[in-house]
Amino acid sequence: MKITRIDIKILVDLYKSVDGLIPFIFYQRYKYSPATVFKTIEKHKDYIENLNDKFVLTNAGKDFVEKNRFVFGVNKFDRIPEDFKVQKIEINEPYLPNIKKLSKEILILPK
Amino acid sequence: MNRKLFDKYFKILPKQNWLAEKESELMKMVSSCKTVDQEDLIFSLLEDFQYVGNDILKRYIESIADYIINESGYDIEKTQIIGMAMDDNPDSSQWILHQLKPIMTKKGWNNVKITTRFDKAIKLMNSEKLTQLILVDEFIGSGQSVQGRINLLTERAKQSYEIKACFVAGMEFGIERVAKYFSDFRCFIPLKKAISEKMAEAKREKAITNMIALQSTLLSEINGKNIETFHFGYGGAEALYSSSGNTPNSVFPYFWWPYDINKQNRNPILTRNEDGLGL
Repeated sequence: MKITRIDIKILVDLYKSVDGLIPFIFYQRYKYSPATVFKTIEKHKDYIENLNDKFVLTNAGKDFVEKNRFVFGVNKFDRIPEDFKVQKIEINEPYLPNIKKLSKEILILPK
Repeated sequence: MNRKLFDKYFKILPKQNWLAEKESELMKMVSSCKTVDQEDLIFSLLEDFQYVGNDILKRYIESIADYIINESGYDIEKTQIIGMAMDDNPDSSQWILHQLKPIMTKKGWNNVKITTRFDKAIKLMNSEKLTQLILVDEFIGSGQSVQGRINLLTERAKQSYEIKACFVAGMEFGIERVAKYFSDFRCFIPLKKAISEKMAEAKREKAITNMIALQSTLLSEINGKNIETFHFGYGGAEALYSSSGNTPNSVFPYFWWPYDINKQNRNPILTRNEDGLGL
């Protein structure tokens, strides 16, 4: 399923909302037409549900937004994607540095 | 757009998915309404609309095949599935019959005779003894065309025959008019006249006035075709039905008439090809 920029906007706004949003909000904020909002909601039926004419994210929807990193917290390092993480090392535990990133003062290479 | 209008558009979409792809056409149509009452009439008629998308149509055509093979009691050797066409102008029965072909094969009736032209079907019936006829089409409106075909059949038949019919959709009053000529008449989506038969009596009169007002914003004559012929749909059928094919002329012309009173193309939500109906 292709996720469009519009899908992300709607999903993120729903994620941030406290008790759901009425569809007209998306017209007020971004001029999204009724059919545009409808198509996103239809496409993400598992993630968005209708509660008394307000749309809210389901738990699966919240997971989806978090996993895809559509929303950033205050500290961007709180959300390092799994792909970039390595095993955590202990304090003072030796490790192999990236040679290119070491400053020349520390790195004294034999001539 | 205010919230009220936004909600009207939004609330119709879950039931009428097809309109999501016709939003600009729909908005153009609604914005041409002069009063909120007229707008509400359009929305309430659309709410009631039977739009048969391609996937669902295919299922109905499967049902036609099942009816012919399992329910009609016909013998494959004598059966002739026939369309409504009388000339070379392509019509909806041919469209349905062409889609029916592979389904008949799949269900084991590859060798059944299918004739798209009604007049030729009568000839074949007389010469080949294919006397168990089944008339197939997408839509029956006032029943006038079906009546015409039946008249021809009675006039030219040199054999005794049996005829049944199987239609995807149609107007109940049209079916009632012709049902007596058939030993069985099957129609999967029977429809009542949208305003005069379906709407609550209290709302009816106002709806008729509003529809007349809406219709009066359309170009009254195109190449000699007068909109009065299609007043509230051909034969006054007041139909609310379409597939992805050619919209039946029984549908209120407000939904398909191509030009407005200023000869501008309206780009309506439904499309009907009708001889001469282009400027």
